[in-house]
Amino acid sequence: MNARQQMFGRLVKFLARLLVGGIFVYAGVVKIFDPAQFAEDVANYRLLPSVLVNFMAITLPWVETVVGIVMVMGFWLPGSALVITGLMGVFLVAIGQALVRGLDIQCGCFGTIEAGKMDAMTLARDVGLFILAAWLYLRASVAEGNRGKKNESAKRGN
Amino acid sequence: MRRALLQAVILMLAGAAIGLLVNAFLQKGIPLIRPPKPQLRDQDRIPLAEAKELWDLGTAFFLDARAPADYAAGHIALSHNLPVEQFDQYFPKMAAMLSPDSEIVVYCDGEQCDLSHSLMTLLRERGGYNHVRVLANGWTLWRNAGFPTESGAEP
Repeated sequence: MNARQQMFGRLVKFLARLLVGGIFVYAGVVKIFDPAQFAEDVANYRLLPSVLVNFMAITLPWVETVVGIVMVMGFWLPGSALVITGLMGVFLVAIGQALVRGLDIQCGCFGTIEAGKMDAMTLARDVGLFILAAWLYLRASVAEGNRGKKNESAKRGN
Repeated sequence: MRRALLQAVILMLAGAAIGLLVNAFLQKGIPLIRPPKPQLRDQDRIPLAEAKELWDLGTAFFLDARAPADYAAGHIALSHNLPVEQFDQYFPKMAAMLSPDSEIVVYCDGEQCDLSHSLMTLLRERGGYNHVRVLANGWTLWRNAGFPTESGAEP
């Protein structure tokens, strides 16, 4: 890979980090201050047992905010990308099953800011985010692996 | 991989801990475990066909319990908006149109929506109206049946 390609790769990664992390921070923050509303949205998916609904509504927005901030800032990238990929996977399953079961509900993804019911577009948007997050995770893992190898060879050299 | 997992666990625990802490101090905080919803009794429900008959006769008041924005986006024709979350603000205007004997049909949207249930309780307890029934999942059922609808905010 030449220097130009490497630069380009880094730029794409930087933009992907800003986009994915930024969306997570935004999605988290808009839900933080109205846990009751978000609990309603979570309950509407009819996926979780009711004892877990409020716990999810209380903690999920903050988990989103924290991993979003960490990702935008660019440290702990493997960890933050892993959480975001995992969460996007869970959201995809939740939205997919709701659409398949014909539940006529709001996404709740961005609190009450996003008006209207969710549809195939919601699913498509989340698939995009999932792919981007998984790509960031894979890239971060590879980078991490390379760094490990370099360190090892440096040690051996000494 | 192990490092990524460790970071992921720490990030999730940190987020969850902050969430629980903030919720404890947040004015709009919610209980950790959701109290069970009161169930709607059969005699409190009105079937769609009967609701339509009342609508055709023009003898019943239809009240939409949803938020004003949802009401404005579309509602049962001739219904009025009494958002349950702003009950005190909207109720006096509605009360002027209602009498204790008025037949009232309240509705919101979705099988799980309990705004109409709450509105029924408020109307009975605070307004003394005894002939209030809930058209469960009202907006969706009414619209899907092709019955008359309209849009626009409550005048």
